[in-house]
Amino acid sequence: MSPADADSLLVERARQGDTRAFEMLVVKYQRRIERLIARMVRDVDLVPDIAQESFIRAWRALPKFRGESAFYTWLYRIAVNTAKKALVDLKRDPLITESALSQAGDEDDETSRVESEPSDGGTPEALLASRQIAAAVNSAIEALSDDLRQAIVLREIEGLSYEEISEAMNCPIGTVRSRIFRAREAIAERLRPLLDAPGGARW
Amino acid sequence: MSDSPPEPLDPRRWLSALADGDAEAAERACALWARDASARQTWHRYHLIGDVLRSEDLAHGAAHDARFVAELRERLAQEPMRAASDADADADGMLSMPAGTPPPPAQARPSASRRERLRWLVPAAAAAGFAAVAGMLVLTRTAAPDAGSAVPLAGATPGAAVALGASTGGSLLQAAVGVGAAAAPGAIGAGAPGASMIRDPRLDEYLRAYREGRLSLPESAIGARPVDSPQPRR
Repeated sequence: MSPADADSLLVERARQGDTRAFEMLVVKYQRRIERLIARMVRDVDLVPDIAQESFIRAWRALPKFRGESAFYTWLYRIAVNTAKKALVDLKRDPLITESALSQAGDEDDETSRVESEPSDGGTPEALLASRQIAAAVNSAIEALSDDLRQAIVLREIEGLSYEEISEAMNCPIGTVRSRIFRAREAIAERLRPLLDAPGGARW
Repeated sequence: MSDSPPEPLDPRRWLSALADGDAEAAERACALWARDASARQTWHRYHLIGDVLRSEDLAHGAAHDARFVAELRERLAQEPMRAASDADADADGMLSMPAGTPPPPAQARPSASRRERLRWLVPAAAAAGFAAVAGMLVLTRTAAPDAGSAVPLAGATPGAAVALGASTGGSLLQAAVGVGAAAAPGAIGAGAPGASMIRDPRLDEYLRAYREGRLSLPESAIGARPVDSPQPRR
């Protein structure tokens, strides 16, 4: 399954009205969307609201999504438009200070960074937590067996489908599925002390 | 070791498989998401891991993400229930308008905010058994014996509100939202054979409770919510 196809199951369910399927897509893309919006709107406090609005607009527009583009491409455009509209609205409000307005960033280049800030406010604690999480993922990857590491790298970084990984690693698809699952679980285990903070995430 | 022994059936396998687009995993993974907070946490972790592998600046704690989804869930709950016919053509003709219903007016501009629209709908709901806006809650005609006073409402009439009298009782609520299959009596929540629609289970619970006479007030209606007129085409 190519990365674009991986969404299509959930997208189709969401198009039929399944809000939970849509939530699963939101969890998948929320960080990237917030990062995108944060590059356009400097005020980090506004980012989650604009991201929320983007996802709601996407939900409403889903019946019209026909899959001509990848879901994330379509969602990306909605987020850009929502952020642009928010910027216009901000300019109309005399109470909004200049700090909320962004410079003209290149919103079409998702990888460009104009002093990108994390959407959780960029506090020292948040930055430290981010670094710790990144470090934990890296060390967990290194600690994996070669088979598990190769499987998850081919899937998550190279974006290969199960079929392609099966060919590359010369093993059955079921084994690919199993290795990726075990790799994820091993990394998740490393992240547990960082993510399971008391009073933290409640799903 | 190139061949891994089969693991015991860890339900998280479904989440991992669905994350990679495995069609067989979709049903079970979605069911897990619905009922199990740790499954939601797992889904989040898997995708956080993928994000971080691709781009370290996407690393951050889960609390913000969980709050984000929780807030979005609340906002989604205020959105109109989507009928499957919104996405696909209504080939079955299950969205039936009562005889004599005027054709839907031209699509209205979205005027006030949803809240303002709520203001005039809510009083009607308080009095009647069930207030719903056409296009949001679809009633399919069933063979219910006391359906005589039922007022089915259907179609995409923007802004129309129909208050359904409480006297119609439970038969009114042999309803199917998101029509994609015949809604035989008793099929609510059970999943009619061949049904392809996906409904919010909270609506099913509400419908069951209403039929069993456990509910009388529309305020507890979780499936019926006023709706804005449809978004204008861009």
